[in-house]
Amino acid sequence: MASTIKRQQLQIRLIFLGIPLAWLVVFVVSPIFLIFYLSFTDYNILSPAQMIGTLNYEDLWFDSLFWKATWNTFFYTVVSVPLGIVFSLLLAVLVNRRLPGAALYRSIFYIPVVTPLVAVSVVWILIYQTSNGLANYVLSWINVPPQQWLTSSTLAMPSIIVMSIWKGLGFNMVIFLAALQAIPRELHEAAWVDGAGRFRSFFSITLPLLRPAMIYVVVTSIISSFQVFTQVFVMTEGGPNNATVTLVHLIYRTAFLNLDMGYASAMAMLLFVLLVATSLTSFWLMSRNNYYA
Amino acid sequence: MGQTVTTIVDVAQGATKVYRKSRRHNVLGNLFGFYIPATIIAVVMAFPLLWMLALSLRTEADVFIFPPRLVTLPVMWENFIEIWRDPRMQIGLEFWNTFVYATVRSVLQVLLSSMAAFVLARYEFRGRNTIFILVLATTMIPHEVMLLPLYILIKHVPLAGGNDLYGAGGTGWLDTFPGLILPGVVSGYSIFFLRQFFLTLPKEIDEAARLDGASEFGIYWRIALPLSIPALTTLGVFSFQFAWSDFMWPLIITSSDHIKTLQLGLALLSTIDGTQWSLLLAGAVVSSLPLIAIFVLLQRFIVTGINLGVGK
Repeated sequence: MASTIKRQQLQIRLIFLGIPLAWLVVFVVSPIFLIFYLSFTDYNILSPAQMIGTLNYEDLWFDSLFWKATWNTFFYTVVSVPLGIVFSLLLAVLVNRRLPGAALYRSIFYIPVVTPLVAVSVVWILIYQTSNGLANYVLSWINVPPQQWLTSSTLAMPSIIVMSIWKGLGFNMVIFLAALQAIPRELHEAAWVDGAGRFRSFFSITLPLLRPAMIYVVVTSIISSFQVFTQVFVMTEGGPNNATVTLVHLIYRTAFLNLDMGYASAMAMLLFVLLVATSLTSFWLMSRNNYYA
Repeated sequence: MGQTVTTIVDVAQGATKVYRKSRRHNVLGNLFGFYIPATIIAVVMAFPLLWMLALSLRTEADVFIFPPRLVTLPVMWENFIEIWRDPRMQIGLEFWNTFVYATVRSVLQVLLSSMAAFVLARYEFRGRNTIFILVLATTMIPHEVMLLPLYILIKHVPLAGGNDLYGAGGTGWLDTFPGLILPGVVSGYSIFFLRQFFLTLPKEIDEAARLDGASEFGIYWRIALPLSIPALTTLGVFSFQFAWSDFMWPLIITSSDHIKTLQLGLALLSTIDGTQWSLLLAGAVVSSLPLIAIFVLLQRFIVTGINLGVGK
């Protein structure tokens, strides 16, 4: 009896753990080694990969398009992450009430998040049309002349950023909302008794207690911003004049349009290192975060 | 001493009552502090989606009328029939492909992740923690960046798509459903998420079931899984949503029409000249509705899931 259980447990451990772990190793872990290897090769898929040492990395250093894509990605991240966080926090504070209808507003703010990115990108292309788009029409009410949202190299990236912030607000709002609801009411009531106003109460009580949620939101937003791709592909294809080329978009182009897999792998390797470093920093920040639990 | 404490408590309670009372009667405050700003923001937030619907219900010429109007006549409900007929769109096939991708992916993800999570949560054995930490470490691997090597890997799956035993010579799993679906099925995070849930189930249940003669598989299948339906639903919903909206992987891995997904079809259609935008937007509406419906029906699970980190 006991030995049957022992045998069954051993079998289940082997099978139940073995299959998913093998899956992880093959499809999640092994690509890292593959990309590391390919980044030192010249490989166009059709003929076997040729080792060329660090040549890809050396070329990257002098590749102005690569630096352009890096700059664009940083710009996208540095603008969209803080703005997205401020707005989603404001939304969370706004809907954090026990009032009839508050849940409905939360749902409305969240709906852009569940809508597929391709579908909303297509609508925003039309909203951003120069001659007959909605954006220019709304601006004409306050006498702003028509802007070339997606076709001018100065406005294209900001336009994509606006759309992306709108799309993602609801997600971070939900995270902030849960964190806000975890703050005991008594703290705010005590502050009120002590004569603190709403703003004082927000900055001295709410914000410090939101720290864990804030770290989480900052890190996940940075990581996904570094990998922005779909809206660029659909809305501008990287143009005009490479003004919206991002790193993942450039990796895609280099690998699948130019069939320069080795070179694309070198770029991907650098982005990989950057993203893992970001994740590690976040773990470190969270582990230091021990005055709230 | 006792006296002082009572006094402080009294004062605090009194203040709390005043505080609560002043809020309860503040109807104007609610109106201006909440309902009016929230309504304005809601209109702005919902407008692009309303606009999507509005543009999908008009003639091609009306899509570009200026100044824009929210409703134009005639209202073209026919667009929603036309998209299923238009040979350029193939929306029926794409809808089916997307459905297969999202359903198979979420079912497999729930199944495989729950197996690993069950073992990691319910059994004690040497090396368990090491395995768990390694699984957790894989969550740091960024998704989009890894699609390039994954593509090469999929191309070289042995004995598939004309490949030999060493994975050379053919196209492997490129442009096939296994290639589309299988790589994303297990993630470190999905195992981690379900393991945390399985840890909350009392261990005594397993022991009781064993005494009653249940097999180890029976404990997993008849006890652990049914008790975890909320967690499994959460994971399944996110997996489904992800696959339904996924764009980059289908773009890379598929090349022929028979396997094209909705998002891929819409994106490619939007880039060609002479696109019929009204039909394209009707397609966008159709591709969004299932996810919005799932969100409305299963909102509770989605909110829990986001807060446990499943979404990213």
